[in-house]
Amino acid sequence: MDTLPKDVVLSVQDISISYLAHRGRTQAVNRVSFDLRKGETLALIGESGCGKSTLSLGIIRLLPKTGQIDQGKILYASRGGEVINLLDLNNRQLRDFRWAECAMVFQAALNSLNPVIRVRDMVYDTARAHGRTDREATRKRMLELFRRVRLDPDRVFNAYPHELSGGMRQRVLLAMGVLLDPQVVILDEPTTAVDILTQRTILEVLKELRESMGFSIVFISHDLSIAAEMADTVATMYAGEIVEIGPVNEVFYRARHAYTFGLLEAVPTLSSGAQDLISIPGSPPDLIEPPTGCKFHPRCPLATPRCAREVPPLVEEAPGHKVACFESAQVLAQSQRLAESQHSPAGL
Amino acid sequence: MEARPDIQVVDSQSAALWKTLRRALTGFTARTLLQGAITIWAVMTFTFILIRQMPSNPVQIEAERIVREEQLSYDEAYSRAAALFDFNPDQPIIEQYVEYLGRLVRLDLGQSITSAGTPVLDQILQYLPWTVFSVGLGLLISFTIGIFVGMAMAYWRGGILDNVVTAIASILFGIPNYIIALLIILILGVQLGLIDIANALGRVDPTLEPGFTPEYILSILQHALLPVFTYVAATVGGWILTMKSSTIATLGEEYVTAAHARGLSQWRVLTAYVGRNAMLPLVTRLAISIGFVVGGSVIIEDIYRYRGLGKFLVTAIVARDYTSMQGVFLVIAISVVFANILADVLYGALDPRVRVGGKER
Amino acid sequence: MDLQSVASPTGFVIGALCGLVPLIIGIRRRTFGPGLLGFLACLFSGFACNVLGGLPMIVLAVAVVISYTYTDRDDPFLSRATIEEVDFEETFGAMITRRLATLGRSIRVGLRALVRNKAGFLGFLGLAFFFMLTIFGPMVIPYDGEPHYYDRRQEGAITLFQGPSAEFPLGLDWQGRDILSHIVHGGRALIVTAVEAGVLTSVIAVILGAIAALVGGLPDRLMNAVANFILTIPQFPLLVVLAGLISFKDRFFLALLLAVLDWPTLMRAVRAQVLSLRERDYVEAAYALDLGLPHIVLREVLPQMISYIVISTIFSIRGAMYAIVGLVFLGMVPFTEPDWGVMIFMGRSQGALFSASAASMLLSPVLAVALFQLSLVLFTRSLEEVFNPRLRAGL
Repeated sequence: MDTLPKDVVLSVQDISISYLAHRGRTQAVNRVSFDLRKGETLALIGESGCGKSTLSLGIIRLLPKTGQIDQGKILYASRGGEVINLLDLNNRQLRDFRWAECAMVFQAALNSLNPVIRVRDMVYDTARAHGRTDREATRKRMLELFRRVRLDPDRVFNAYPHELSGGMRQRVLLAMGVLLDPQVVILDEPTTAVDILTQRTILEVLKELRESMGFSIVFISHDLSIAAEMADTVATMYAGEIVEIGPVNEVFYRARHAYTFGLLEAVPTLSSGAQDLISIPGSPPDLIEPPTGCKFHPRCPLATPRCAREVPPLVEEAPGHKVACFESAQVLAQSQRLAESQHSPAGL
Repeated sequence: MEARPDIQVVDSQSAALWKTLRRALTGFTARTLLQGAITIWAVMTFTFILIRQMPSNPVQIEAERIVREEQLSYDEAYSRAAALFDFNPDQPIIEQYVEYLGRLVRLDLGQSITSAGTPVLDQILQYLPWTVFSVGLGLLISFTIGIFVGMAMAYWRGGILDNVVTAIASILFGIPNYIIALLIILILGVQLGLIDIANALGRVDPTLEPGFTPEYILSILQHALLPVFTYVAATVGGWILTMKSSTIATLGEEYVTAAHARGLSQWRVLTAYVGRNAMLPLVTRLAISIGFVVGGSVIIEDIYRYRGLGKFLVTAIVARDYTSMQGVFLVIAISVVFANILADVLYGALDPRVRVGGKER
Repeated sequence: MDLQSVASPTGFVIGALCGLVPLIIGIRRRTFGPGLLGFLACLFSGFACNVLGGLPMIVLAVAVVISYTYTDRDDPFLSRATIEEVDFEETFGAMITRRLATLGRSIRVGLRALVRNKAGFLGFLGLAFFFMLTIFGPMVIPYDGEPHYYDRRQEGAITLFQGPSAEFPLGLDWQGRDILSHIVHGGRALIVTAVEAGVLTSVIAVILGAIAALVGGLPDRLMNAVANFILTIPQFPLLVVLAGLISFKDRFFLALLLAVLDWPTLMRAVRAQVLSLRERDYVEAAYALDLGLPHIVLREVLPQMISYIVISTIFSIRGAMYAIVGLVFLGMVPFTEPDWGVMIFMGRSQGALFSASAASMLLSPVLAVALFQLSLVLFTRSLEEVFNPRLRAGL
């Protein structure tokens, strides 16, 4: 029987996920581990194609047929204190687990709503799948949640998806996500497809919901400023691996991995002009034949011959702050300089 | 509500259905109907002129028959043939047209020329049900098979079922329907002797008294077996392949993954999320094919000696029976136009995105 | 249209002469394998279609041969020359070579894609078989057109029908004639008419669709109305009427009629595609440069739609063959023997449908039509792969 520390609700331990492609196996997620505590918000950041979305699909066991979890454990502590390994669940148990315990809000809001049925039918479907057959109670709860995400409850409840705007759909998904009062909500880039004002509303609403309902969040984003605003803990993913993880202020002001630092340099701030922005050269590596050693070394400005030879281990260098980089001391020095040069941290 | 919750649900469902239908129908105002009427009129006029341009006319054809059979001189035969029919080939076409239109507004399709005294409408009504029955049943069966098999193949794609059925469907899709009919007779009937062809042709056993007797109905079904099977075989491949590709596209949609993420049962996802969306393009096609049911398959009915509207049409063309031909073309045009309207209505009812004024409240 | 030609000894000589061109180029460029293959390809196609087959094949074969050894010195991605060294003035010969090499490369990529899809390749082989049969078959098997009322009658037989035997592999028909010879000779007119109809359909549809979309206004509305109208009338019954109206002694008119009834679907697709392409920058740029309608259609629109058009052409060919055989089957067009459709009609009217010994007379043409149509449909799978770069990459 697996055990978990008292306040940990979800623990991903040494998970590897691969896809079978024509050219061979793609190692999309490679030996990733992290703990998610109750009420904590963990932000997973990284470029597209780094394995963030695969990891989240793996957690709710919804990988496409070509994908498979090769090793590791995903432990989940239910409200009753029972610890289960999600990889041991059968289909029936998985269906019960999904949404009731762990909900997921997908990236493209329009595409995650069935275009030919009404919002209310999707809500009823969800409730009924989890044994809540009292339609009236479901309706009341949903309307209440719609009100809390600042939607016109009756109108939205009876609408077809195409009748709602992008921001409204995203909030519908958010509200539906917490319909069954889950302990964990996974948000996959919830604000990419909407304009800046709508993005603000969604973040506000999300914070309020988190406040009142106390669920934990896995927040997937490539937008560092949003991650900084929402997260307690930040994990940087590169080529399917977590290369740095730590408390949000640690990671953003004392980054120790060259890749995280590169991402930070690429963020525009109020005080820095566009000319200061530095992009990371090159593109994410081929995951079928990844580079040797540290996978980031071909693009890393600080890379040494050692980086190409050896794989840097993930080491805890400061309390709660783990990093997998041989040159972390150099990176730390640079990132402290960067942090000092920026007067207003709000710019992040 | 506490006492009889199920009635309430049924009630609200039928109300919703009615509302949907009404909303779909409001898009079809006079404009759609007028367009349809103009199309029908145009087809009618076009065929009216066209068929009278064909070489020879009913009197000549009949005269030639008399000459062949009774060795009369052509002039003698001609005057006899002319006396047989209530048709004057020398009347100007404009006069004929005006006369025809005048009768048409009174829903009178005129008398058949070659079998004088029989109204064309009666003849059409006599042949039409057989064609609608056989082709319609074939269409229904092959559509149903196509939907379910196509979905199953998409769901288990790459498996044995998928590969085997894709091969069979491609072959069926590639072969013309009359070739299939001939192959059935030649291989199943003659070479293997599995079917008693002589008894399977025609519409019904002619020795039986028409009526709602079990023997008569059984005979109808027996005789419909070959044509229906042929229609199914000729069209099922297309439905299967279309449904398969449509389902594969739908399975890749995010809302299907999202539905699974919400813990919905496999069955519910397959029906309400995958099936309904994947079927959308096929339903329109089904509605349009319904329009061509009436025209039937001229050649299949000829091969199986199944006297439906198609066979009637060919007989009329050969005999240059203008009024009968005209009547059949009119019926076909009407059914195609209405099938197109039906396709629009159905699509509107199934896909809320295209509904006219589809905003709720 | 001189597609009726059959393989002849003159063609063999022409083919051999044409084949010398790629062979010599291949030897000079030290690519002997492709050179030899080019020689054989020219020999073969010249043999099959005389000058019409030999000359185009020279171009194709030479293109492939050149593509093996050609490197574009001026290609910025391949060349190691600095920008100053590149001579942007290209001689005519160099331009021709470059174009040929590009063509040759795409032929090779296309051929590889053609082979990759198993079903499609099967269809290709089927089509190749039928073309060989109709082109080279007549050289080996002479046409047996005269009735044999006495010399082939079997002892005690009521009819002249005969089942397959060693002398006549497919048996004899109702007049005691060799069925195999009718199969060999009877496909050409049918296939040629169907292909003509298919190509005409696409030509009409593309021209009308492009005009409707690019000109707009009244022509557009007019053509849409006509298209709707044609789509409302069921094709086959209308065809039966028209068959009585028009004399089809010349099969080309039949092809033309089929095309006139078949263009609306493709025309609508072309129109929609052109309308959407029109919004795109490069077509607008072409407009701005005042390059004219033909240029826009031929150089900008067609390449985008080529896969759709070719596959639609194949389906039109299939539909045309369906209609032609159907018309013949119902006895609605004048007969010209030898013809698969006429064989089916005569077989049926002479009672071959219900007699086991006569079955070959029906079964042979029926299977020929079925297999040809099946090959056409399967072949489209390969074509999809040839034209679709996304599928070609195996994604």
